[in-house]
Amino acid sequence: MGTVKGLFSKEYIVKTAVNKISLDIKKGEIVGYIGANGAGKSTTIKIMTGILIPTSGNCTVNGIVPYENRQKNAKQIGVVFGQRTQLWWDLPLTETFSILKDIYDVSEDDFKGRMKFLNEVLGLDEFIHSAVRTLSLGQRMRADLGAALIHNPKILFLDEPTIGLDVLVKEKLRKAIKEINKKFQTTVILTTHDLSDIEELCDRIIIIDKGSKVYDGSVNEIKNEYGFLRTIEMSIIDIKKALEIDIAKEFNLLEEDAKTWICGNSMFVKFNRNKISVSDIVAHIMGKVQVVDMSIKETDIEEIVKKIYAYEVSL
Amino acid sequence: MKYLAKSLKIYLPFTKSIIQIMMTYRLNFFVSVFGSILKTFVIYYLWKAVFTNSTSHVLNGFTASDMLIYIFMSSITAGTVSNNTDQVIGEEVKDGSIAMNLIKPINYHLRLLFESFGELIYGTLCVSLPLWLALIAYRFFNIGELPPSFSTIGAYILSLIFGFSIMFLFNFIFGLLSFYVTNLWGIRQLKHVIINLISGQMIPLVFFPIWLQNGLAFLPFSSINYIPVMIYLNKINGTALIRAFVIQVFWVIFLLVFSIWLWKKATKRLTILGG
Repeated sequence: MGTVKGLFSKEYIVKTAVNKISLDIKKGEIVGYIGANGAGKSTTIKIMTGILIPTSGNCTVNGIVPYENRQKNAKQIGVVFGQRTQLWWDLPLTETFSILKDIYDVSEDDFKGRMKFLNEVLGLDEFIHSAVRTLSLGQRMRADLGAALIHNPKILFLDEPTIGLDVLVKEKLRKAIKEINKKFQTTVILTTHDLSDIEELCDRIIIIDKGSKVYDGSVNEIKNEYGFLRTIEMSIIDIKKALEIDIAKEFNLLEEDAKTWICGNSMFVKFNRNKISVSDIVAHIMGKVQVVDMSIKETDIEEIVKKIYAYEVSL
Repeated sequence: MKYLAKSLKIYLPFTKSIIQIMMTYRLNFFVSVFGSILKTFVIYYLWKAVFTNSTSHVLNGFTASDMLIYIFMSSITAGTVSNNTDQVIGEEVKDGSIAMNLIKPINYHLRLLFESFGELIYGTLCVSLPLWLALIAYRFFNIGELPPSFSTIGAYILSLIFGFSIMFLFNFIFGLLSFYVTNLWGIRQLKHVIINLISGQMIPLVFFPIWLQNGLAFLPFSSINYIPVMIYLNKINGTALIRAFVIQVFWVIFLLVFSIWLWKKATKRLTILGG
């Protein structure tokens, strides 16, 4: 019924995507810009890149108002949207680079030098002559990052650059971003759902939720403050024996600092790493039962965001 | 001059890339060309039947031989001026890739214009020009008819350039509708059929009832196809020729101003689909 009704009438709901976000980012910083899906990250980036015009408020990027001077702003920024490509889909990769060279008016010498550098950090040579549509996701992302950097932008916007990539490619991208930041003092604004991206790259992290800023500070601080919870999962042969283990009691800790539970053939311990170490827990359990497999999970970024948001509410 | 040279350097790669892409998908291109040639022959035979069964040799000032040239030149003209600008905008809005074009320091109008030059060059060299030469050769060897004078061809080409500009700007404006309707495909089919009819591609406009002809005089479509072909046929000359050019130039300027205004308005309400 809804579909039929939708044919004839439309209802509009006004939704505020970002609200009262105020940030100041300095030259040469690498800032992690995070939040749950739909929190308003991409909207902010679109405003900063000049694609969207805000209904109120203002934004300047290196002295230029992006949505009033879109083309001028575009010259000084580089953008990678992980879910899209800026490469010419049907042309060989070399063609994309030579088109970009003309668009951004890069001199022959600069172009050669940068291509050489990008090649070293991103390894573009392996597939530079292939048509873009034939590239794998990892190759395409490397090429996309290269394409965003060919004009040596002052500011680099990366919207989920590591989405869907394997560990090796992720590593390569991170290394490249770090090197570029160091070499050219490029300011980097990065959104991601991968906490390890943030951990390896960013000095500062900004968290938004439901369109508002909820946290702005250093990465270490946030990790100590919110990312201290780890979960160990252990597969145990004789699960019945494990039933009596309760880490909190045996180490004299509060229930919220070490929670133990069992599910199927696995035993889970969620613990505060500031209060108890992994080795203590593992040694203790291994002394009592036979463990066949084990894994440790960090609190992921979504969870931290959730926590921070809850904390804000309870204030 | 320096500015022009710089712009050319920035935008010519777009023309080149479209030609390369069309070469990549050349089978697709030539199949569609084959389709329109087939269509042209169907229209031609239809008109042939009309003339054979008519009591008069001249219908609305057209002889059967005029009509043959009209139909084929009309098809060549339509093939030359047509471009996919509206489809390009529609697709970019639909899949959100318009964002990737807005983050580059390029003018959206000019980029699309230079891309349509790619279509123009490829289509002219691979289709229009060979077909035109074939038509000339056919007429010469069959009935000994010489091609039109240089001045007529010159006037036709000038008119064709205006026709191309009008078609491009119209498609650009039409493509911007996709900011409002999200999926352009359906109304694009409708547009295609209507333009086919009222630009005089299938039937010369003089065959329409007077009230419709008068109405169409207020629209840009006859400038796209009908006027160039009538110029080629030497049916518009003298002051009427000047008037035809003035009308075409008027539409180019009007549509250009309107498209810039609409672009500014449309981008204000831009939503990027798909994140």
